[in-house]
Amino acid sequence: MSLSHVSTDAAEVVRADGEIDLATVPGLVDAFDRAHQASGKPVIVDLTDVVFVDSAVLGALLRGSRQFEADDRRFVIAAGHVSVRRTFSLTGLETVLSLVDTLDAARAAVA
Amino acid sequence: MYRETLFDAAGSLRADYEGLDWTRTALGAPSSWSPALRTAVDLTLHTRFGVTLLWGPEFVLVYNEAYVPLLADKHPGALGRPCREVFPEAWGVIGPMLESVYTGGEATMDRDAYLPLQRRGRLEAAYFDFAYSAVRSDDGLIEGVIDITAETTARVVTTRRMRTLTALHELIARVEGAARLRERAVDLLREDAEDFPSVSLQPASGLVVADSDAGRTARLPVGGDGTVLVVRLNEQVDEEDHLGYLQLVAFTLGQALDRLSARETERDHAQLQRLMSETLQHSFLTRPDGLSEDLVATRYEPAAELAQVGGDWHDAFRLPDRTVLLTIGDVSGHDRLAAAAMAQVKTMARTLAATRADESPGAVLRVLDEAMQTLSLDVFASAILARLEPVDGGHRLRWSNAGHPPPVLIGADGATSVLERPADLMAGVTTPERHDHELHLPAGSSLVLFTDGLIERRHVPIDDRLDLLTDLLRDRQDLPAGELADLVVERFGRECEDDVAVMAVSTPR
Repeated sequence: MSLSHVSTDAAEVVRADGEIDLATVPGLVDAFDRAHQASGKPVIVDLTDVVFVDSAVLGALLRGSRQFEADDRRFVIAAGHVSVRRTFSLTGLETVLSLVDTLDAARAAVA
Repeated sequence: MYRETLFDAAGSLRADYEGLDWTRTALGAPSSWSPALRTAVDLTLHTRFGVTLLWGPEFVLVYNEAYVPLLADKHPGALGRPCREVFPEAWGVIGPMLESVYTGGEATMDRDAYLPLQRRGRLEAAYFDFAYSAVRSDDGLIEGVIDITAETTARVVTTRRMRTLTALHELIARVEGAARLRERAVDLLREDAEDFPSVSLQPASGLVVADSDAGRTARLPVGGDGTVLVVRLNEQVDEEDHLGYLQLVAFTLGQALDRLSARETERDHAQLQRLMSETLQHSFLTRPDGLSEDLVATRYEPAAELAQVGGDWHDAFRLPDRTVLLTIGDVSGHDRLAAAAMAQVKTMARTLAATRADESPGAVLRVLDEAMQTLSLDVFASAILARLEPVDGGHRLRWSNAGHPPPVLIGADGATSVLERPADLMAGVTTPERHDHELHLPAGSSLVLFTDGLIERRHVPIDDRLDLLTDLLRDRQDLPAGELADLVVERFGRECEDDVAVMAVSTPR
């Protein structure tokens, strides 16, 4: 698992890969905080190379989306892996998060 | 010869009933009892809840099996005896209530009432839910009082301790400085006068020099764990100088001991916390109330890894109209706070489901969403709330799903299906839309509910695990709930990374 935060012209991009679980949560929350302070741009959470999310991570993603949307900043998650998408559908997160399959789609969504 | 058949329903109390010389009690021989008393006794003995009659002006006790644990060693002596003699310690409180009901006052209903009872050789702090109502004869005269009761001591005590412990954790997280923590911690503990009738934190005493038979001796604390260095002083050495040196030795040794034991303590602490969380969690995962293991069975498997304690819960109980309410859920996070939050969410879900029995599961979940928001619980919980209502030819299942893995249905013909509907969001986030789902379950169908630990595996897609589970459950429609739950745990629930709660429900054929 690795975690990074990059500022681009269009958005703050928080990227994780591999398996994200309970141990990842503090790092993810930090990355959201950094992205929150970095600018007023929309946020893309790039999970396109993530293959597994633990239910503990879902809370962090929800908190993140509330944190940014409270400031009218878009919060888009790019996640294509079938098991990750399945977790989002089982937990009802699909109904409240902006989810797209690819990073390109995420860029288009915040453009 | 006349044989009294009234006591046939007394179960394990039958011998006590038949052995008692009722003519020596204020009630007289059972053959002489009034129709109202006979009806009331019959009702009492056929009730599975704890019930006692308090009959006549002396409130003579006639009770059922479920009431006996409350009496403890007052039974069997209490049978046929006036209430005032059985409960002199509580008479000051319950006497006036009984008199009031007996003389036509309103029925009473008390929750978690504090009534210390003299039992098992001491005055025990005890709490009860209990309700007194008048029992009348056909012509409307009050003949006695019926008391329906459940002891809630375990729940009240656990809740209180949990509250204190949670408050202590919160205090530790936000307080700055050891001195402030000492002061605030004692204040906090003092608030729970039951568990801490008197409490203080005292500093370990410093250097003490004392004369004894063995000569003049110095005792010096070494490090923070209470170890003491004991040295007999040498009269030939200057004492002040000697003590200064001994203090330096004790300090040096103490620092090393503290450093070495800190690591061990940390490890012990983690284990203790886990044990504590598990204990608290298990105290909340009670057996389904009043439901046989053949109908509803629950299992809980802790995670294989040491560091994780879950917020999984299950709950089942039956309403007076025979509707069974089922809840299964999972509070996100795996630490002691998750276990504490679980207890709160479970209790809220239970209370709301029981008190809003005429509302749909989705409506109840909406209130739970609001309550979690109002109380700023700041946790997320996936949950299923389900009602199983007896109808002709089986049951009507109504449920609402807050982001929880779908249950598996085993039809009366053995076919299995996953009851997946478009999922609503987990509870505690906002107040999302809640949908209700409904299904007719023909008699003989079974249902298996579980938390995500059962199907979540890092390298196995969830749907593959769900397929394996439905394969396992196919044609198991004849298994009683207990065996069904065991089967699932045996074959699926071991060595999980996360905690697993399983609830199996079998509807009778």
